[in-house]
Amino acid sequence: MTELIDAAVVWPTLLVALAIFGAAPNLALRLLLRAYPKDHPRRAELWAELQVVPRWERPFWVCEQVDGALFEGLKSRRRRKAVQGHDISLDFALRILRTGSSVVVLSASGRPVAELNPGDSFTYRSRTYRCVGRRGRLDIVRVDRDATRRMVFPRDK
Amino acid sequence: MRKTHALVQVAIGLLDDPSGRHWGYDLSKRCGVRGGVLYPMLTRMLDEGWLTDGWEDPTTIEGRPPRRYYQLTDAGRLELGAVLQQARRDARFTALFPRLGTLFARYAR
Repeated sequence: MTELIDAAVVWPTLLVALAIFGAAPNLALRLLLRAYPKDHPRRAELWAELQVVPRWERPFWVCEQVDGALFEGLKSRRRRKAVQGHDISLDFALRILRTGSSVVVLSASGRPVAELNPGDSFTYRSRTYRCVGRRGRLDIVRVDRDATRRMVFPRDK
Repeated sequence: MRKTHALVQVAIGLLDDPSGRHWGYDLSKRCGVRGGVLYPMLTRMLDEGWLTDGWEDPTTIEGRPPRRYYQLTDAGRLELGAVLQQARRDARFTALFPRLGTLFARYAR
């Protein structure tokens, strides 16, 4: 009887130990790595590093990565998002400067620039790799009428 | 870059083998700097041009994914050398003096 009780006590402990030193670090790291943008080199780097960390050390090593992933990963995501916004504007042959919450268009073309007046707004569709098909709305607050490049997206008021 | 204990420790670790390839986990072990501090610092050094990075050749390894390595640039050697020179004169880094002494003694030879 006591042997059975002992076994009941030992088995859960063993399972917990297996989880902590076996699957849990991998799972936790995979979740942490999601804080980084998809093509961030740190994703592959930390995953590769985990494979050479001794098993007994892995849970602690993964815990060490939490603050890095949260601060560095999320910062990269935010920075990437800002860069994407810039890329979108290039795709549209628009040069956009953000000033506070408003959007300033310095140059645009494709249809007569004169049509874009301060206060105008139009819907656009992104053609960048990362934002295929994503739609957004721009408010035109200034237009450079000397623009020469053509904007290929239809006006959709 | 702000001169901290971690930076001085990492500088010692990198300049220990100035022309070698350094791996994140290995470097953190040798320097005694935890990963959460080390990896962002390596990113800043890459941004500053003190380090270059690359990936292990997958054909030379088996059973694990290729690891990312870091290598000091000439600028990095100069800058981190200067960091260590300043740290040597700074009382905040007294605890690191033995390691600094060993490193400088090796360069003096």
